[in-house]
Amino acid sequence: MAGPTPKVNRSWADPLANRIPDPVAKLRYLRNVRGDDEAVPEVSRWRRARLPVAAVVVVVASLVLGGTVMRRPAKREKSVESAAAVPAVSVPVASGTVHAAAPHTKVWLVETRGTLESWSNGLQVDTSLTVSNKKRKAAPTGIVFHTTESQMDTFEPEKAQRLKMLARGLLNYVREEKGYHYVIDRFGRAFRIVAEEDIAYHAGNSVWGDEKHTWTGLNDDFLAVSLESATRTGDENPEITPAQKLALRLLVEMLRYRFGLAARNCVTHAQVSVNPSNFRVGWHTDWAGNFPFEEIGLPDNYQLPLAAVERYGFGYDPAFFAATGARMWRGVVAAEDRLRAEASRRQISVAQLRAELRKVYQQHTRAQDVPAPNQPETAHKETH
Amino acid sequence: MNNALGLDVGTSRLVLAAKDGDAFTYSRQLNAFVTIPYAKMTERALRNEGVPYSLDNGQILVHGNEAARFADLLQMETRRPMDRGVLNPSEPESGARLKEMLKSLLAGRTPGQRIFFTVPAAPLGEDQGVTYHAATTGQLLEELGFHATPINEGLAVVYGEMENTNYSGIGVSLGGGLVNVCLAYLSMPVFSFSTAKAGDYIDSSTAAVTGDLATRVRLAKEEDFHLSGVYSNKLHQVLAVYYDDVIKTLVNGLREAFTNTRNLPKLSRPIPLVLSGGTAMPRGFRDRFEKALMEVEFPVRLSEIRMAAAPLTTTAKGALIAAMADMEDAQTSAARA
Repeated sequence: MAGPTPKVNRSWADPLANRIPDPVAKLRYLRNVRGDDEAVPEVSRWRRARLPVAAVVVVVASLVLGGTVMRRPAKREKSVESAAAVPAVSVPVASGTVHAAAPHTKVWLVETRGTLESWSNGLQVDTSLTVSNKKRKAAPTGIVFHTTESQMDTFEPEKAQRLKMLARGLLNYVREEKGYHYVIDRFGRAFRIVAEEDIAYHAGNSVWGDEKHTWTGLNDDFLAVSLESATRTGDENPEITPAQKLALRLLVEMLRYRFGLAARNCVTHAQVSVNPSNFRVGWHTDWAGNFPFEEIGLPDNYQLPLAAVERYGFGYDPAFFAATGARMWRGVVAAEDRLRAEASRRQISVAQLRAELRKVYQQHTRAQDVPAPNQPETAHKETH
Repeated sequence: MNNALGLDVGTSRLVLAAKDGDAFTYSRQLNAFVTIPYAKMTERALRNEGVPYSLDNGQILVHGNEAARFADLLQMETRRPMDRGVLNPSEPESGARLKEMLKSLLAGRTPGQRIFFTVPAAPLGEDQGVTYHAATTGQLLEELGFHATPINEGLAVVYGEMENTNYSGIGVSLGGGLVNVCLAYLSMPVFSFSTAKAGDYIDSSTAAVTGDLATRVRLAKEEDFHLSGVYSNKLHQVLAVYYDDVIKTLVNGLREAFTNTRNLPKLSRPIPLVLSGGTAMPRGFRDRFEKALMEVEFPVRLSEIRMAAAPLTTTAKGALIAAMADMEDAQTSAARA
């Protein structure tokens, strides 16, 4: 704070809102962007209390239109069987977006020497710590990017031994927890921890979707790639080294080619993580707004609508707002827009649609024996 | 005339905001009353003069703006339906009195209009809710035929003043009973709180020192007091002392709240702080406040500290903007349905 009072920058925060001259229209835009039922707490609490206690009958059957929600089982063995009983449900599905996915580059294994794999694009993978876990049912569909949230030290030559020690401790921990398929340490060394054909416990309560499918509980379907780093909030630059970025690019290239992964299914943990106990997105917020998508050969997937908001009616709270950057909010806005369009199409309120979608989510997860809503992800061997 | 209304339900004043074409219009009432013994002649005189009043248990109750004049004339204290931002627990008929004043203020308005009315935040460090006050005030407005919704007072300041920053910033409303603070980020309230040292505290504390009535102190304060550092009389000297106390309490509250609040948004740019309310009106208040705030380690970068364009009506204006937004949302939904 300074003595003189400078003019406020009109480009503050939300560029779309800046273009709305009318104060009421601007307020409507901003409030709708954050979700109809996330309004001013004091207001909404009171208003809700005054509503007649009308039973909100959610006719889930009306949603059962032979749609396309695809659900892969969560982590527990028994849920695999129950998943078959889950009815297919129609929910709003994202259509193609502004994505210009990088073409798959052919990548092949050149040689394996001891525990070091060399790939044709220059990637080297250390397999000395690789462990097995429960087998996945099908080939992976995408990648979830994480940060390890581990202890960090300054990245300087004189700290090399300490940095190596920290990385080693981290890798052992991830191995023990079977937390990720890959970890890239701060020197850019890629370690395969959990075998690719097995599941890792990285995203228990989570939702993502593409043009055809919606997944809940991404452990089974998505590979986990984690960078040794700590979460930065909002728009702050990621704390990863150039070596990590390079290794990540090569690793993503290799995985996408081998498993035919669509670019839009390579997303960050913050984009998929949910908290079913309060129906809020952003249970975890690693890579909430500063993942270098473009620099590793992916389109800016932050623009994609958040599937949890769009397809299951999840909301968000000030904590999420605080932790995320402007980039991620484009996905939230896109999801909200689709939600509103769907509500309009069905001639119901957004709040009604949300309630219905949340019921659908509960049905799915209950049927699949996904972690109970009040159980945090960490109870299911999440590494974070 | 727009169908939405904004109402600032302050401890000392009620301010109603409406939109007439492109212009905001305001009407104000002092949120106070005096009781005078009943006499036919007095009642006739009041009626002839158009003074708002009601009869109660053999007494005449004069409400609103006229209450201060009568109190000054009759050398008596006004009574308040509200105290420290909420319905006055020591005033047995506080709800009924407030309703009379609301009725008078809303006379001529079409029942069925949507109205957003302000409610205070819980006092800092206390878990005291304002649910009862909000529900009761809402009920009174509903009984008068309006669709009422409460809105946090500090947030209303943000809506009334911070369009240029997309409703991001700190709104401070310095009223009679409370000082209300709200940090909002892109229209979303992040947190809010209130402190109990406000205008009434200044009035009653000053009155205790000078021997004046608090009502008279308030009139003197609103007429010609300014925080210049040079004071012509003892009343102004004492007022300045208690003003400093209020400012210090507010600054400490701000620092404490912002330091201790978890999940404070990561603000990439400095945010504005806007002061509003009658207690912030004396000349020199903004400078005094800024100086006090600069002396502490405030954890948030501020782009500016400024007075609201119209400190007495900003809160009502913000409530009106919220009501209009709500109404247009409802109309859009209805059109779709």
